[in-house]
Amino acid sequence: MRILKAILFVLLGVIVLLNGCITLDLRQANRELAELYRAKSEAINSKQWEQEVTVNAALSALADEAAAQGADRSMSEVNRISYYRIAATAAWQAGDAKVVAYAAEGFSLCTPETFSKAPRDCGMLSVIPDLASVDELTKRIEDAQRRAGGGTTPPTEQEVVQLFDDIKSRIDSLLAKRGPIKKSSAHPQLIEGIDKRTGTILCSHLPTARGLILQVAGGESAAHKKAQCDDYKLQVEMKKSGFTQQIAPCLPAGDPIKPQGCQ
Amino acid sequence: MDPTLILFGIQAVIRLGKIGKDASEQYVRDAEALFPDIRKPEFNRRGYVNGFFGNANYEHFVRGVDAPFKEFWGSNGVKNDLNSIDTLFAAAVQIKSEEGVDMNKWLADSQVIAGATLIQQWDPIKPAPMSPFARVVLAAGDIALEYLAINPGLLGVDGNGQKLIGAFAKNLGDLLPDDGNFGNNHKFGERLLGIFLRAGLETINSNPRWVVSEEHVQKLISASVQPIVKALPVNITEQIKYREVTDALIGPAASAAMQTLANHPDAFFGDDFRAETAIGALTQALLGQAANTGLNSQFTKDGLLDLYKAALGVAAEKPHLFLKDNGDPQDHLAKDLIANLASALMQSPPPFNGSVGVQLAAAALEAVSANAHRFARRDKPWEQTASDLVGTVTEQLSKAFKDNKGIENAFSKAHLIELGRIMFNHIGSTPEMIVGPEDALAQLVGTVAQAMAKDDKLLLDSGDWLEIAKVAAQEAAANPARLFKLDPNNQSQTLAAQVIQAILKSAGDILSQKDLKGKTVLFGKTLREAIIIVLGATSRNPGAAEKNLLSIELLIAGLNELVAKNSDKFGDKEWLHLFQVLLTSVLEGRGLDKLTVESANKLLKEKVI
Repeated sequence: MRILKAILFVLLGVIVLLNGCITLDLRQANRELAELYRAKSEAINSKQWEQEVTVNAALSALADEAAAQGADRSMSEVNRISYYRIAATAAWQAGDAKVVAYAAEGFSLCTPETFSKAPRDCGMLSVIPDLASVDELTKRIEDAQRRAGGGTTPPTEQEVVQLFDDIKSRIDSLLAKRGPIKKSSAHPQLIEGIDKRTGTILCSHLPTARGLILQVAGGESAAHKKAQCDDYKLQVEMKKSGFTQQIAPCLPAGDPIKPQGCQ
Repeated sequence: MDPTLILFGIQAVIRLGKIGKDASEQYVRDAEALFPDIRKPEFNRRGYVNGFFGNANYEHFVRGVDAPFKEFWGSNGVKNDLNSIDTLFAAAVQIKSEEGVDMNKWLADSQVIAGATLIQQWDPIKPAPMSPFARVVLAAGDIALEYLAINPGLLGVDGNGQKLIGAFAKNLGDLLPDDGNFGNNHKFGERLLGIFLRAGLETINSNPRWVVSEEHVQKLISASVQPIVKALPVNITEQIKYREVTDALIGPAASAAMQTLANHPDAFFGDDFRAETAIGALTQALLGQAANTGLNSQFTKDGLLDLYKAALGVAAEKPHLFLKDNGDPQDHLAKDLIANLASALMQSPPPFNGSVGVQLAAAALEAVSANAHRFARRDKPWEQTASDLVGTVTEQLSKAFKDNKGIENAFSKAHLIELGRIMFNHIGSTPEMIVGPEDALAQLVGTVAQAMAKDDKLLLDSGDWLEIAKVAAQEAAANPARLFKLDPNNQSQTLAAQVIQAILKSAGDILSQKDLKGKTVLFGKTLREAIIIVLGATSRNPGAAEKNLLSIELLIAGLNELVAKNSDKFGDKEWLHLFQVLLTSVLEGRGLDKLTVESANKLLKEKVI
């Protein structure tokens, strides 16, 4: 059964690659992205890692092909933006570093005029690199956690501080992009989706990284105190922006408490 | 909403599509986009506790003179022992619970493998470049353009495609409100109509000779779509489930319905719209059943769709079976038909719970519907009869397969279905067998099945059993009360079963005699003919057969021995002739002399004369 599934996934990949030889239309690209995402979720849920690798390769091929379409200057800019949105999403899901380039190329086409014609696609292109980066950071968190739990190479203070800062930067970036998306005509599901993911990073990724600083550097360390202070500032900002405990359950019910010495 | 306007809009889109695809491109661009979720770190209790109490908001619970949990906390966070970690984890959950946050649930949800959101392009309450009217028109235009690329002649004046789009526009016009305020139900209906339009265009492509009748297509679509839209549940959870099964089934169902329309031109002609009504009721029944059982059971999507397809033929050819006198669908009939058949098959053991079962159900439906006039005004509704037939056949055959694995392996799927078809066709023409006081069908199928179970030496193959089943069914249909009546002395067996088993026993016994084993002729075709002879003779005189069962057994044993010992003189033809002659004597109560070469030759010579 596993072999059969693996063959199916390889075929899926081949189909995507072969499709690359002919022009990929937007409808087809959207459909393939959805299909491959479903295949990837199934592979992850059933812990079929080799299938996940095959699907990732197919996603990567789809990303390249959609990006090639996006680069076609004979096409209207709004259409090119849509292709880049597909390219960036597929590259993100493939774990392919080209996600940053594809999202940047697509977003560079988002002028005020085109943003108003494809608000969802432009909004997605602006946040996809941050979300892809969070996926990569998740792997680093899990690795640091494993090593902190015992073993010969525990994480260093510098390493966990860097991890915390990287995660915080992603939240800062997402919060900064939130405003223009909220003002646009993009469907509210987009901003809800971004907020939900930002809440998860604040309540899951960031505290884990801060906990690692505490565990590695100690409660009295400057690194821990700085992390507490940064966390506090983020919480204040998010509360101001309207984040509730429903979206970010780690937020306190009332005002966040300012840590001692935090400016 | 005015259907003429919709039709005009769609035609405009198609014309526009020939020049440039701007409008349809926007439609495609604005389709829902996948927005994947992010990965969450694997949950680690110690890490969580450190993150939680290391936050300034909750640090006072573990640090400071009055901190209630200070003994579990050290200089590097929670003390690294299970007790401290568990205690502080429970405390964190409690603290958040007092704030009204169910942290346990959030943590559990956050460990679920990433899902995705589908996001529309436009905010529904902010001005978007496309009006709802333009959107529905573009949806249809986009589908038509897709097919126009394959078949450019599709939309010629009065062409099939044109008629199909006309039927689509009329349905859309009926469905959509004039004020343009489309609710959830309208969007759902609009999507379903799009699926039917696509199915129709597909059918035209694969059946170029199909002469589309706009009125009939229109009626088929409305009869199918309107009840589905009306049945959309209000409750969110139920609605999600209903939408899921609709998404999974409506495409293939619409294709099958359109194909039925194309395959049965006589049924969809003139002013008679009964077939469309019947198909609509069936389509709704299919979705209702799928919503009830879900699509993840053993009897999955394919099984239900195949049942639906089998029933479509009946609906097209005999729509009155599904309708009341006034032409409305009979309450619950289509629903009961699909539900009962699905239930019978879901309860059946392998191989009857898959494609074999579905094809048996199709054969049962065919047989019952072809003979529906014979079942008229009976107490039992015909749809119940059809599912009972399937249940009985699968139950009896399953028993036989359980007792005799060898015979199961001897039957191909095609032969199993053929076996069922033989039974159904003969029984269908004799409704007394099914609706009478005794379950004659169970007795007939049971007889053949029990006999099959006893053939542990596999003396007969599946082809032989099919021939025997045909004769048994014919005899049963002709004289149900004789051969297939349960023996008062042995309530588990019919007389026919006992007779067949007696023959099988005698045929098998000789195989245990080393010197005669290779010389017996009583297997395969000869054995099959012997059983057929006995069934015919017994049916004519069941009392005598019952009384002389042992004599029949002894006759076969004697004949076997004679032919095997004199294989140079006698073969299968002689065996069968002698058997026929001597069986008549046995059933007439005449004693048999010892069989010798001479007496056998004498009987054979009488045949020649």
